[in-house]
Amino acid sequence: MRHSLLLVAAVALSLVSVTSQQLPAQTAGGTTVAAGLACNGTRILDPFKGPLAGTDLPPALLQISDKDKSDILKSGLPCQENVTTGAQADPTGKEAVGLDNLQRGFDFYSWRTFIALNSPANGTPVDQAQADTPTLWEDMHSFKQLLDVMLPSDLQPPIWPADRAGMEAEQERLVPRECREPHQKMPTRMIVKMIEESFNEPFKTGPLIDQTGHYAIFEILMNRQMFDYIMAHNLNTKAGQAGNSDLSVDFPAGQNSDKTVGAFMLKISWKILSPSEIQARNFHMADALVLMPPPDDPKVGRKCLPETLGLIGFHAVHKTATRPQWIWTSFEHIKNAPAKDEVGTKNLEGPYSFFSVDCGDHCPLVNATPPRPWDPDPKLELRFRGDNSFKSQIVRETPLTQEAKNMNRIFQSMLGSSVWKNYMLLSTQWPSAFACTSLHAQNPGAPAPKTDFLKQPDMTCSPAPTFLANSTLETYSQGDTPLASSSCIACHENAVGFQRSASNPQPGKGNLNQSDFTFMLEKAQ
Amino acid sequence: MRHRRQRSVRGATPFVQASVVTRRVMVAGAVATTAVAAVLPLATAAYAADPATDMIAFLLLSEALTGVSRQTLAPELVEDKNEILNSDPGVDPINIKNTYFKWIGDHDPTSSFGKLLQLAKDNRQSLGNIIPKVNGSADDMVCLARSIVLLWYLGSWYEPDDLKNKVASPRVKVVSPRAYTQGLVWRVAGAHPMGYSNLQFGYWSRDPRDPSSPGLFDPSKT
Repeated sequence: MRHSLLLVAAVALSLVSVTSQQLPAQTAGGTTVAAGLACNGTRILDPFKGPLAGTDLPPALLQISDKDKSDILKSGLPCQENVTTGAQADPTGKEAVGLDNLQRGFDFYSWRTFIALNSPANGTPVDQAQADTPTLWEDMHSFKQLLDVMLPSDLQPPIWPADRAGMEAEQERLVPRECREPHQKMPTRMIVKMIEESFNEPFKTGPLIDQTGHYAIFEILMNRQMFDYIMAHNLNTKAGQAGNSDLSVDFPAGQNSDKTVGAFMLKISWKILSPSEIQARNFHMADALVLMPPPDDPKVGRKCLPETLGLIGFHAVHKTATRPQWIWTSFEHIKNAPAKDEVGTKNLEGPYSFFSVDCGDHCPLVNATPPRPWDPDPKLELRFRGDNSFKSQIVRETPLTQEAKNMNRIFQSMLGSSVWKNYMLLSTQWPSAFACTSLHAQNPGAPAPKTDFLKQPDMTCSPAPTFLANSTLETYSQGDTPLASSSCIACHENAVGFQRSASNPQPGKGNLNQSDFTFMLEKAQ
Repeated sequence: MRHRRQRSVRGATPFVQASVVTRRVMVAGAVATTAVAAVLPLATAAYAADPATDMIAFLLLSEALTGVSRQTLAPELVEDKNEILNSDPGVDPINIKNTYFKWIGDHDPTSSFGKLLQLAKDNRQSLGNIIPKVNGSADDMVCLARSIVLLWYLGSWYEPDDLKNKVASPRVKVVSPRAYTQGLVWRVAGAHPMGYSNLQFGYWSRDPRDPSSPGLFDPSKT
């Protein structure tokens, strides 16, 4: 994150003024302010006039009134989903199938979430955001990098003070040794510390290499509610987790009724921008110092490289009181890769970051993992091969639904000339079996754990859609093969930590070591 | 995932009574089988004289034959309290009912499927009558009903003709990758098919679900 950048830019701002600028919806009646992030507990349904199904987008759907546009763009972060099997806010906006109405509600929630988190941290309206405007999620108030929480045992435990000066001091403390010198020269740059998960995709399926021959870079973050829970239960270290084996991990849930944000996690993918891409300003950009992963040879130093990164993928994952399986939102840049059917029909609008339209007879195999070795070569910095002999040739296996395409067109039209018009929602995955989710979601006020997975060993509750993959974050797990293809919920239900509980727990004391749909706890040291 | 192998099922217990449907016979006979086979392309024509009411009839028939509630078979079913046949079968993310319905229509060379659906429509107020009436029908209908039971429980298609002819190793096909994961036998047993599980880490340390779990057979009791 570009904490230091914000430090310089906003050094004169008081905490109160920063918060109010970051959260324009704060003045709205339904919004409350929590430490870092605020959310809007008002039930907001999409006002779009007409069904989104169908190949042709009815012109009326793009005729969004100024008031509706303003209301949506300034509505802030939803505390919880607002979905219905029937019509949305406008009675004409009803899909033929109940499941599609629900999906539409979740997708609307996802776009609101994306807009809220990517709104400029300085209060500029999101439809005027420039490519290099720092976002709310990049602000040190809002999210913290996973690797700034799971610290080595020789460091003091992490803290997240409420005041900006305290946060800045904590940030300074965690600047890696290798980055200190460039950090002194370029203090406004965010610092990305690479580990294997920063370049190798889930299940070690391989790195993603762009058309300039550079690695894509991945980053994981958590919000303050997640951080507070982790620290309150000593889950930031292996020893702490092992010593808390009876705990059923249960992150706080977002809720409209009391306007609580709940736990949020982000997974971000970046590409290294070329000078021409920086000049074109089609990506959300962040100036960064990228710390290379630890090399195999400890005698080789880790370089800390100044790079300009462009946002290519964005996962926002939110736990809510009614969706204890969390809600999984996936966005990506529109120029990452074409869809498979677009390739088949040669309906290509390149250039793409991860697909060559003119490689002719020399194209790499589509969606093939790169040749080994995969680890970055310290000498090559973030280039995959010195001779640029490999570039990923990626296609999106599962095309977007027509409904998602149409919702994207509506939101992209609302975003005017903003850089965010270059991003699209892929889909939102949510647990569709409500009778099943109600087994897990306990009533407000119920004793902990509020999320009770002992009642029902199948924690997934029929995710909809069944599969969901981002072309930059689950590149090699696309498709619709049960278990092998990417499903956010079905994969993350297997997440565990370092708790060691009894193998056959007594009723009421059960704890199956599940870590509440996050793999973050596995990074404890 | 595509299963490209087709193999006979060795050692499977021949169905002694080819012309009687009971769930116990179906499941006990088939649970020992390994159903790994090629997935054939679906024929273009599906059985559907009246798609909406036929799907509801199929769910009623399936509930009667499997003993599993129609809400479990069709999670998004919205029932019309006045006339069950006017209900909305709904669309769920898996939608296995549609896969099965189409498959049966495409693979029934007789008119038995239509007759079974009509039987379900005629007995929609008293589903308990369906099995006795099926058992009193022609062998083609009985054996198709047995194939339907096996389809729901195992996600695999047992050729009705082979059941009728008491073939020791009936031809079996896994209908689709999703069908492979959706067999009711796994939910009844509190287990999962090889290579696929939605059960949480460590589930094996706990008592399996009660096979008569009321939630499976009557979702109102969950």
